[in-house]
Amino acid sequence: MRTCSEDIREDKLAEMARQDNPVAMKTLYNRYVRYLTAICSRYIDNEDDVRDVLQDAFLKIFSSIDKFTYLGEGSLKSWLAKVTVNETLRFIKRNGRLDFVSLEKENIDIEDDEPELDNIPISEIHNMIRELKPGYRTIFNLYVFEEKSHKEIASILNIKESTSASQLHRAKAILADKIRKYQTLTPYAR
Amino acid sequence: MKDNWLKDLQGKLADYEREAPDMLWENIEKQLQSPRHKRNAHVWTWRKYVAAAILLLLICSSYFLISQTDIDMSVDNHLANIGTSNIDIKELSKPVATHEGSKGVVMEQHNQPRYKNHAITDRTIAGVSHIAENADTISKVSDQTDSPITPTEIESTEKKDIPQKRTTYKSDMNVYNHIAQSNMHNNEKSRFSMGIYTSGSPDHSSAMTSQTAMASSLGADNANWEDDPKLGIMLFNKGKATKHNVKHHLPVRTGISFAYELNDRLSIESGLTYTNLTSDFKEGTDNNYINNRQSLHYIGIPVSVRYNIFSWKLIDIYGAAGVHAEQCVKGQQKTDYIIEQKTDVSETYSIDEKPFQFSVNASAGVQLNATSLIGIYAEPGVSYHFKDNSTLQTIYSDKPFNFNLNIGIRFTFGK
Repeated sequence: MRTCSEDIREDKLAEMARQDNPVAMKTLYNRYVRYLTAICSRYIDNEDDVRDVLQDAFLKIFSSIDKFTYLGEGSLKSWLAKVTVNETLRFIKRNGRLDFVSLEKENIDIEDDEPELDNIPISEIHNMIRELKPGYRTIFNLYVFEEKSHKEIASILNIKESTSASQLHRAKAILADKIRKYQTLTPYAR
Repeated sequence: MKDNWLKDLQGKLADYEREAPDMLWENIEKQLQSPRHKRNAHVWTWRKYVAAAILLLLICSSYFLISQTDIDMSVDNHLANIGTSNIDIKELSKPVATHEGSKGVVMEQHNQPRYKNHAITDRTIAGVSHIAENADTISKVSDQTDSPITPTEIESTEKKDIPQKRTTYKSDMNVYNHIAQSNMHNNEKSRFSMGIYTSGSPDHSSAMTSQTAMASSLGADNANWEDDPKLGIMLFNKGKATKHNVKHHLPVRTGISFAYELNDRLSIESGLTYTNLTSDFKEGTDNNYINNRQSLHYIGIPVSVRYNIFSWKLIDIYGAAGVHAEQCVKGQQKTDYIIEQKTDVSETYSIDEKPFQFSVNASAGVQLNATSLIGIYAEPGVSYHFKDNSTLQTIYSDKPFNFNLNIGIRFTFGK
């Protein structure tokens, strides 16, 4: 299918997609699908589920694009991300058993120094986040990437604020540990 | 642990991209072309209209139920008061039989609910405006009721009756209140009541007069009519217009239902129901009558198809249509012979006829999902009951086309 020229502006693209212009819709998809896939897969580790959620997210995007208001460059991208995150959370709440692992179960060294991120590929960090247990992963994503407070996370996931805080603390420790281990095991990366 | 590295991490991953899953666009395209998605905006609008209509219907029906409670209760008050004043007058006319009089009062008060029901039926037929008038007069009547009792001309023994009277009346009211609260169906009964008046039909009254003439030789008012209560009733109703009154109580139905979701809109549903149909057939005058209470118990299986019109958060709004097959498993008839509003003789026997009832129904409902498995629903609907080829007279045979409001719990499986 033909697509719009690469440099078409966000507001024009959204306007055309709103009018059910198939070319504009395909262009919008092509432009943002990889970005939205990254977001969605940071929350969900199963590839089939990622595809299903993305499919629903795009359908939602196309059916509610008339609700989008252009507020300058980048606003479409962040609106798309918001719709996708909402759709992802909806899926997690509906299907995921967010087992908030009791804190004693795992034995991880908690070190005070911060891990170094410079010599580690982004895709590797992405995968490490995906390897976290669903509960840790969801809270970590909401806190770090969506910049939600523990109060907001508690209300989104219907958990206690203290649970959110303790789970995040744990998630950070596990991730930092993974990063350090990665760096020890692959000295060439340094 | 400081969180600077998290800021760093957020920055690094902010614009990270990954390859899209295979076949994603193809699937999206397919969905976009499906009629459901194309008409999305349009469908949304009619769904919203339907949802609004159903909500309105629900609000109206619940308002109706609540307002019915009020009307019933005020009529009760009114009647109870009238009842008390009637007794006073009677006692004044028979000052000698003080002891028996007080006993009579208690009995009479016990019979009050029946009397109430009867009067409600009449009044409902007469019109709702009438009830409003009654409600207005309550305060006046209740003011008046105390005054005829207080005069000093009444003997001291009778004064003792007054508190007794009050307590009986009170406890009766409490019982009634309790029933009204625990069983909302009672409040709706007047909607389903039906009255047939046969005042002064020639052969009927002539039969009565002849009986009365024969019985008049027996004389005394206080005679024991246990041996032939029918005769007593006819005697006491001498010269009065009698009426035949049929009152069907609202069918009381409880059940359990299971739904299986075929897709996210359509589900098929079945279950098991128990229905109790009670009807009162009353013959005579207000004070002296024969009351036949017919009580039929049905076990049924409903099958219906449900279409989900609108979902919002935990709430589903849907339309449903289906069939309901019910088999009568037990039937009973209780005959009360009431003389001067006092149950003289009571007989109970079982009904041998066990009819099979088939009905079709359509309804609209709203369901609140407690979990994905269990939900509470309320659905107003209409149903049509086919002839059951039995000789029994029920609410379904008299009024095959009926409105109803079902409230219950639903278990949903599938998907």
